[in-house]
Amino acid sequence: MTRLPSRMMVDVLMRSASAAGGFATLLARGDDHGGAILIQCRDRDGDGPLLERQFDGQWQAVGPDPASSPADRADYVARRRRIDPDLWLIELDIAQAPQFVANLNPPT
Amino acid sequence: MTLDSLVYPASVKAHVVLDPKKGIFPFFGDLAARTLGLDSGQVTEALQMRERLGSTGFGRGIALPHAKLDGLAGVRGLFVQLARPMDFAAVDGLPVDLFFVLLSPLDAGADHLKALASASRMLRNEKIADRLRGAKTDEALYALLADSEARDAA
Repeated sequence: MTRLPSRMMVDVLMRSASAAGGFATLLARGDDHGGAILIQCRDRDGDGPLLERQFDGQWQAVGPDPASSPADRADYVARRRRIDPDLWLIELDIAQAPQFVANLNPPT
Repeated sequence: MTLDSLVYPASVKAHVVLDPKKGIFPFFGDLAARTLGLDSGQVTEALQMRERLGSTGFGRGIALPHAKLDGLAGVRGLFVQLARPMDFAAVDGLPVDLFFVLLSPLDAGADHLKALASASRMLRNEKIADRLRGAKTDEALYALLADSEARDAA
């Protein structure tokens, strides 16, 4: 399967979220080509999982358990940003976010 | 984080009609100069530079222009409601009429992010966005930002 350059992937994500009636807010820009992409899911019910694009282009839940405190999640995100200035950070507000993200680039 | 803690009443403007010769970024620059004591040209340029990387219009008529600047003591916001929506190259192609402008000190990494997320959360709440669009005066607009529901959403 293909792994799009990071900036293009983020663009696809933001447009697809909007087209599907959701919202994607770019909180921090990363490196255009190889920057890691971290998505913090958050809908009206509160915080959802953190999803990160893997080397094979698939998305995987990372960081503290979604059921843990919001402070733990914020700490994790802050730590990731500190050690990796190339990281893209996006807040995604859409129904069934993990499925939505998984379907962005289905395995070929 | 509550948005009314970022915005001074004077930094909130309802029913703005833009000078067609100047456009919106100089308007933000002038507002930041008047209410925050910043250099209008610097603010204008910094916001435009960020916008060139990709529109901060994140859909449904809402945009979050932002920049980091020298000479700020903390994260500050401006809130502008336009009389007529304008094209802003937003992600959904819809014109934009609600702008939350975020200005942060150069070293405000985490606070800047938190404020961006809070502003986005509040404004993507449809009920709150509708109310903000309905506000007729600066005072009414500010009161809505400070409203308990808006605080909860953020």
